[in-house]
Amino acid sequence: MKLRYSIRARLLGHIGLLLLVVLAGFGYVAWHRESAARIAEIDRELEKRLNLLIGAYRPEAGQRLREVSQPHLSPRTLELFANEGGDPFYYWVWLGEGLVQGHSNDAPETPMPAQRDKGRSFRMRGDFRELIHVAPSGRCFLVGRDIRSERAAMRADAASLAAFGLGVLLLGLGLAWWIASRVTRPLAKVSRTAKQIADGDLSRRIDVPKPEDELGEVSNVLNETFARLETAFARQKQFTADASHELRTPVSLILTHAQGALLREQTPAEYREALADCVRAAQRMKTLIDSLLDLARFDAGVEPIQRQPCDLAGLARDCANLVRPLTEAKRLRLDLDLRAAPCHGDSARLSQVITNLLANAIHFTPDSGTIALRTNQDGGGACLSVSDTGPGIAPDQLSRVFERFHRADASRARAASGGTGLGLAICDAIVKAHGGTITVESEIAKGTIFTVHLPPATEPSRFPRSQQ
Amino acid sequence: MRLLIIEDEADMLRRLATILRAEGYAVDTAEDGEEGLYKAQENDYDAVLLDAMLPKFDGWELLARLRKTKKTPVLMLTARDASADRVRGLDCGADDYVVKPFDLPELLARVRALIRRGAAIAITRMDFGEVVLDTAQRCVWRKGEVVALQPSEYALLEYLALHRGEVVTRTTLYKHLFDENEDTLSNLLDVRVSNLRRKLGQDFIITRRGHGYGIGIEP
Repeated sequence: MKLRYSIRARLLGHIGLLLLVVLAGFGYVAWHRESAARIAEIDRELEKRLNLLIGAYRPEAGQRLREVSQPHLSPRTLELFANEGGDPFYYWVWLGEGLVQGHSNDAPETPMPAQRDKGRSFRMRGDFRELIHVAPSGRCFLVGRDIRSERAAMRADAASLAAFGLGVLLLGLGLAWWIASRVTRPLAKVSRTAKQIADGDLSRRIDVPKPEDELGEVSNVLNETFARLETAFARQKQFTADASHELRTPVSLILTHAQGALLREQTPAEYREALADCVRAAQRMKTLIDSLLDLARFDAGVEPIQRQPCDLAGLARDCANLVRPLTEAKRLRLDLDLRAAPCHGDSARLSQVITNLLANAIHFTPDSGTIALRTNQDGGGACLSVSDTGPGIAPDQLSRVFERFHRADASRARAASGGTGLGLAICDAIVKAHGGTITVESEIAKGTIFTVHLPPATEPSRFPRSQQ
Repeated sequence: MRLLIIEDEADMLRRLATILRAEGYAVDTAEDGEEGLYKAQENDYDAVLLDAMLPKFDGWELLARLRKTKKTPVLMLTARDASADRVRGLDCGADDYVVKPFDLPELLARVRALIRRGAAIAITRMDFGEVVLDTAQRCVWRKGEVVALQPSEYALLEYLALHRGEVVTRTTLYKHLFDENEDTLSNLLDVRVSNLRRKLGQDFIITRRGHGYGIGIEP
């Protein structure tokens, strides 16, 4: 509700202001023109009368100016100045020195104009409009008109214009309110839906009837965000469920070992054995927890990757030496084809990846099989592959091997790496943090090959904040 | 009593077997669904402890196949504790369902209950006149005094007691008191019988020549 009102109110305010300015502008202009026309009309009348007046007061041949005491005012002229009919015109005539030479009947008291420039000029004096003529002789003619009624008429005009303008303004505002409502209603609807989704059900989406307009764009962005949130929460939930499930096993072991030892009197050797078993189980838990924390750090984007120049070939050679006892135990052949593969990365983490892949290969390859470890340059970057002659991975499982806690078969795998089910997920996280890719190909009963590609060294890139 | 534990976690399997053997049970083991099913079908166990997640085929699958031929009491042991998993386990034919991590004394009590149920005995205390046996406490009294028995001796006594009034053949006793690792040609059984007779009275266990042993049967 609040949203609608504030946008509507603002819209209304602006439109109202606009309408007000436009209407006021037009209204004023209209009124002014009308008033000017009226005044012009009056001025014309004043001119007409002045001319007649001047004519009437022209001295006869041989007559002196001051001697014109009886102006030759024709009846018609007189009519023009007669006050009985309510005719508001009047006149005054002064001689140069200030003596009044004549004036109309009932003319209002008018002092002689102080300004005595030769020629004609109009002026307003209170409620009177006056035309003044100063003759070359110094004689001053003044024709005036009471314009009170004109003024009243102009005020009435203004009033009616204002009233009309107000009416239009109100109408306009009403219309604007209606239009604003129509615009804000879908906005409010989107806002309501978004709030509901955010509060509760993240699987719902906002309706987007018009994806092209601004509201549609915002709605689409919101929907996308909700989808990402939904995925993130689902993954988190799954991860938590998986993690707590995985932890049950070692906890159960510790409990059973310890409770078993406490059931009845044991020999010291038996106690020691039970304690050793507890330690082993606790170490399994530790490995699992460490792996989980690692992954969590990668997820949150806070795991620092030290980028330094290194060579995958060297790292691979070291890892191969590390796992040699394991390969010998299973009489596995370890083929090494290690060409120089310089790259820019975290050698400890990359070694972790290589060791993990090797350990998996060793674990899944039956006795007397072959494991091949290759490194090479790859278009400016580096690549590494680990292949085995193990049972292979089924096609439907292939896309899921890098998932957390995914295992080849549903039971717990007793992998040499501790069987956490997180090994490949961690490899994936490390490789991605380097901007690289890790892929797998496999054929049932033939074997599997994991390939890691690292990009060419560019300037240190920021650790990606989110994993897709 | 002879038990079968089917569990793919080697540490857990070893430990449970040790604990149960210390309790006087004969214990066979299996590490995957295939081996477990084979043994469960081949032998008559008094109870089977079955893990749900096994290689080759899982616990539910094993149960379904086992139930076609055998009514052996089965206790499912698993880390999966969602209600749906419990329901599935019980509906597939499990007699009990215990979630890991479990409390060991509780697990042992449930195993005892399973065996009792299998032997169709509801009560835990058995009175044989002078001798009183409590299968819950795994204790024996003679004339009110506690009799110290080795776990293996107790196991034999319990089996005969649960089948009182019946003659139990030596073969049966061997099947139920010794696991596959024991040499059945040994005379361990006779040794145990004579020990029991020494502790509980010569007439307590009757020998039926050519047939076997029994409690509460006519000589």
